[in-house]
Amino acid sequence: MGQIVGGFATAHIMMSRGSAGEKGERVFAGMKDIGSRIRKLAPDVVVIISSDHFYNYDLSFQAPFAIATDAQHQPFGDMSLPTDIIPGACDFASGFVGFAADHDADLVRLQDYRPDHGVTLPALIIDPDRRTPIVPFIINTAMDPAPRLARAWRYGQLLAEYVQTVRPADERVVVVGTGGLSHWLGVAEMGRVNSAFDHAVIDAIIAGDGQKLTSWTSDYVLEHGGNGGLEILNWVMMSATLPGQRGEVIYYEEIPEWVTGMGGIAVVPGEQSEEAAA
Amino acid sequence: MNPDHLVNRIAADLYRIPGLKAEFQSDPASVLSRYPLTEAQRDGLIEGSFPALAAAGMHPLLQMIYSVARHPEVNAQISAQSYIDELMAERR
Repeated sequence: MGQIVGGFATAHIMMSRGSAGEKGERVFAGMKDIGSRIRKLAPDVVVIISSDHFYNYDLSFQAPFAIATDAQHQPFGDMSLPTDIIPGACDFASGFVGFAADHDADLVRLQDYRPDHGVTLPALIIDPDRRTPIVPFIINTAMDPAPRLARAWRYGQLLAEYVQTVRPADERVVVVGTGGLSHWLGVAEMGRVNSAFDHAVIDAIIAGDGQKLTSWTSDYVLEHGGNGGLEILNWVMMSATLPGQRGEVIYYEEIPEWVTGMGGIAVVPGEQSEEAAA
Repeated sequence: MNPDHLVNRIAADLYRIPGLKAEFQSDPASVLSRYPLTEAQRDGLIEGSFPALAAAGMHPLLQMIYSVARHPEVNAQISAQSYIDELMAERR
């Protein structure tokens, strides 16, 4: 059986250097720390759960959950990110499409998907040398209504089950949920950050209790975390791959200058929450 | 077509149709004239502010990529180039 050897979550944007002062530098240092920790885990595959920012999707046809199955990914190049090829993991991703279907979970196969900053920035942080196969898993946080958090949790459960029951022995998988935390985009509240919401998300996941976030409705998230806050779907799915596992905060900063509550966490297998251990 | 969907289609087209974004940045009115927009929508898309785009019916997240196309100077504010350069320097 394969093994999920680490779960992480991180914001997937940065803006111009200096515009957020030392807060921005601490976020960047935290992101690099996450990259370093992932490299030390020597993963065979990294699943990056992210959103599409309309560089691939449009509103003509909406897919709530999708996975990029290409052997190579050509980044879109938004936000001045490099466009050199990111290796994919076709066998892993295609296998998960079938596994999900067998468990009554529809998962759209993305081909010719072009990663935007939501995948490309984390991928660059994780492996600047582009050696580690990356599987982009896209949750559509822009659709209305957005997928429920409970559904993200279910896909995380399925991903863990797939790795543990189908994948080759000794395959090491890292799962990274990206985006968030609270932010409002293209609406009157743009620039607002709700640190209470952000800490509630972080605290639940690092306590090994990410599942409790599935009680939140999308309307609740929209009110307290903003339309960009729906990206906690990506964090919750990651959390479901390591249920009951404790984690730690790597960084958190309120950065209105970047219109976002910026957070990063690591979930460490082997350190169970009190509830899971009981 | 739903009028709001048309506005959203334009934002997506700018990133899908080769050369259209550059043409739009050179002459936005010409590009927008090819779409059957209302006058109010056209004015809103020319102005390109977030409130104007919202009033024209554009999805909030599509406003983000449209505004970058309409006002390229925004790129300088959101560019993480310095951070990216530092990450790229770590390549072996």
